Amino acid sequence: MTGDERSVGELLLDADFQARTLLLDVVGDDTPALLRTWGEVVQSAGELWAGLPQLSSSPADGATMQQLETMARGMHRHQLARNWPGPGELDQRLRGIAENFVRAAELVDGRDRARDTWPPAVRADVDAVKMRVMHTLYVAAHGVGVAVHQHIQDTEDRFGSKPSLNNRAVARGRDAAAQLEVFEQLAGAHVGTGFAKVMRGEHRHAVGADRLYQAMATWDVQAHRSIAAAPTATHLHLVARTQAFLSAATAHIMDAAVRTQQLDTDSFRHQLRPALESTHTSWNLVARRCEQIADRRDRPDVTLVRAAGELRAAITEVGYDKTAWARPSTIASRVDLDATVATLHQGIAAAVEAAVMTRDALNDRRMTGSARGIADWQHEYLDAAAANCMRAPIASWVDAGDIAHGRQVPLSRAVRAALEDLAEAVTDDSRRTMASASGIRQTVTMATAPAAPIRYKAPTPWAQPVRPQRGHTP
Amino acid sequence: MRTPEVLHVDTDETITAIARLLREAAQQAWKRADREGPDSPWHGLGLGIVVVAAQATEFVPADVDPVEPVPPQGDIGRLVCAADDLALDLPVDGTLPGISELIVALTDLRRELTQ
Repeated sequence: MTGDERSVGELLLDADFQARTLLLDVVGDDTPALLRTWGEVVQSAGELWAGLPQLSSSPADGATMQQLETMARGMHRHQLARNWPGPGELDQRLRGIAENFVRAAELVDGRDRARDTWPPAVRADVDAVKMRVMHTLYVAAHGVGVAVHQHIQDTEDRFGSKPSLNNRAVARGRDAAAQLEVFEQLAGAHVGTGFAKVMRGEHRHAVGADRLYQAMATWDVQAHRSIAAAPTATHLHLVARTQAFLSAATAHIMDAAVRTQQLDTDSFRHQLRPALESTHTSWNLVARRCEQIADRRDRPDVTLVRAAGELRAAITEVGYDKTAWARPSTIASRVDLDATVATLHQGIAAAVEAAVMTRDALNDRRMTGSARGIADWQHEYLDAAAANCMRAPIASWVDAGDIAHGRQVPLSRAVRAALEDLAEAVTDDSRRTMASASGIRQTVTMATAPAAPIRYKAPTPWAQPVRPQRGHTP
Repeated sequence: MRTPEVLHVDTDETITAIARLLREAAQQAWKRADREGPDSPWHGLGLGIVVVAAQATEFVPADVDPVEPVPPQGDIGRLVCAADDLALDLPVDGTLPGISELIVALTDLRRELTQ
């Protein structure tokens, strides 16, 4: 390290940058080297932390670092006992971070660590240094965790999930992933007291159907809570987008079950899949309009955001392969499809409740809309009507002054009627999907349940966009 | 031991720019998903972007529009990468509690889109 003229702050900035780069570039094959080097990173961070002034008034001081060091030592012992990943190369990126911590510790060594007379600016700077160390550990732990999960997935894809000498990395990797998860949670709790507080205790990672089940249950509860507390277009937008994604994912994962002969093929292809696609499109239309009329300055409930993120993560873990849908055989190799299909059935039933809740919220008199968004909506409608040679009422849905000032306005009758129509469509489609799904469930032995009747009410014309058309299959 | 202030950036402006980039990336993702239909993987990716955008919006000052001006980039990957690049300027010194989760989520998103 001779010749390194960087200050403590520069060393830590570089360590932070390297941690972010690691998270960005990490792949499953890096796992053994990362796990071998991880203990060194935490140990060097602990030594640096111990060398920093101990300021009793500092909120950053505490036992967290000691806990993290203990956990890293425990991980190391566990790996030695199980002889995995065993001896081999170290990860140079993590070593770079560790070296920066060591060099920083050398620079701060010898200072008067217990002095009570540090000026406020120095105290604040020490706090900032500690926060950056913890942030670096948090990001790096997440990066190592990502690699371990990928390694587990790669090993399962290559050797299957049955225990064997070749895939011992699966069970051992899961142990390491669980330990890193706790580490990340602890470091995360230290670096964040706002969003992290919401995440704390919820950050769990079960595999496959268990995680999906938990994520769907949490989502269901949180969607109801958030909309009951604030029936805003912002919340409805997030709910509708998430439900639309859930419908698409349900169709895709169930398709994998069908292809592996676990469901009745005809019932799925002719009833459930079209119903799911129609529900997906209905939710998307609701989402689009809610986004259009949402107050831009409105912030969604962070707990709802978190629940949507976890549901998406649980689904992509099962159904995605990088940025594309995974092949049916890949999905079948990842999860117990029986259990997953049962979970998705519950999701289909819960979607009916979500649709009814959305309809009620759209009918709520407290709902307002952005004047500009409503005007954009009307323009779209008028353009579509002109393109299709339709007659359309030309009276403006909103006042020009409200548009000019970007106000939120109560919803007019025309807008309410259109939203009600969208909500009815999503409710009907969700019910039809549930009926089709229960038919599928009963017809592993070929009996099919009748689909719910398609609604007879003609839709409000301006509820429908020109494209995409609603996805009723021919 | 003084932490260097390498860049003198306005944190509010930076986080607002990140939120706008992500909102626009989400818009592009939805458009692409709508074009491709229910089978499009962009529904999931779009939801992922929206979730991170919502996290970023939490940090945007209440009186600032997190949508406009709309960034000029038209490519989803570039929008997310630009947001992630800006996140390097965000302070992680405890002045923005919860920012680390946003940084990790953003980097995860970039990795997902660029892998």
